Amino acid sequence: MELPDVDDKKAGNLYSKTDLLKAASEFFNDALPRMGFQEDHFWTNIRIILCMICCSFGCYAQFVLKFPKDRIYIGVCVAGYFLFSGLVAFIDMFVIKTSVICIKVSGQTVFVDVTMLPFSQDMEIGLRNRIGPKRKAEVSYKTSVGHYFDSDGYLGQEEILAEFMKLVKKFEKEHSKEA
Amino acid sequence: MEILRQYTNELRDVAKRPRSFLTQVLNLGCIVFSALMLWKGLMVVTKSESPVVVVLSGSMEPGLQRGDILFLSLYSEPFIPGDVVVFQIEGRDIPIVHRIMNVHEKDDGKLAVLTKGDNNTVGDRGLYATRQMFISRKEMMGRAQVFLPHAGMITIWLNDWPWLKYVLIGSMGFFVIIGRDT
Repeated sequence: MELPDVDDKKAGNLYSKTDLLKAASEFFNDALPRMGFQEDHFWTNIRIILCMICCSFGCYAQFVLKFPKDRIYIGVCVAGYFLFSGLVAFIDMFVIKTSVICIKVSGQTVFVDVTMLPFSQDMEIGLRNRIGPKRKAEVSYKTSVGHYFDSDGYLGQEEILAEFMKLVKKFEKEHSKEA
Repeated sequence: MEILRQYTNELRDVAKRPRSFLTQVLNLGCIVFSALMLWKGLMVVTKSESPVVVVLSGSMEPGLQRGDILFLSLYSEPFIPGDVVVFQIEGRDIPIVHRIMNVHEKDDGKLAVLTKGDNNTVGDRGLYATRQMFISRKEMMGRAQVFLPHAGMITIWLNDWPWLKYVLIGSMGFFVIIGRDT
């Protein structure tokens, strides 16, 4: 398997979950499109649009409307803001979850999840998808972060990519079984 | 210096991906507007322009201490002597938290209120504008309903050292942009 030309990714602190996840996330965001995986921006676009609507409500209430003259309209903007903000939170919690990138695999929209539980040394990479309204395929692989990062904090691109490709093959097999 | 270089590189990496940069900027916007909208929501519910204030002086001791947070409302109940109110004199930057001593209501509904700090020996006429004997309804920001003792000391510190405010907010914003908001 040929490695794509991606800058070295380094975790600033090997004990920081944020740094480790950030390095892995940046690698997948750089490498997967260069390897030919098509990115699916549907849910991120929805999220961006909802955030822009939220910010529009906020800007209108803050800079255009005056209190107490426009009290009712301010109330409407506040309600609208929290409604759309709630939708964003819903998408983050139930759709995007811990996904770092959304790609197409065998024509299906697949979320690539990278997670680490608190106080754990294990990093889990997963592929998650909903096939139709009721069925879903989910494959994952968990191993110690030492398998992916060296002692200086550099991400081993070959190792993480190798595990990722195994997961893709497993996912395609599961998908063809479900179909 | 190493950590500064790391954060600068992270900011540069985020800026290279426009979609990711836009997402982080919108996340920062949503965080800021969440606080603003909560404030606006409180304004709408309490009908007060400043629903939460911090006591900055000791003029209401021993009942209210410096650093206490007050939650205000401006519902239509009449003001009566004994109410703790917050008012702002025209031309003065800082609102005042004092107690109502006298209330005079004219036939046309206009209100004339005299206030005094519990810890002051004289009434507030010295604090009002020139030739102003009473304060009116339009100067009232609200009536104190609930107070949280000492919960506002951080606000006092940020008031006393404004640079601290800019450093805190600036660094929080920076960390949200580079994706370290968790």
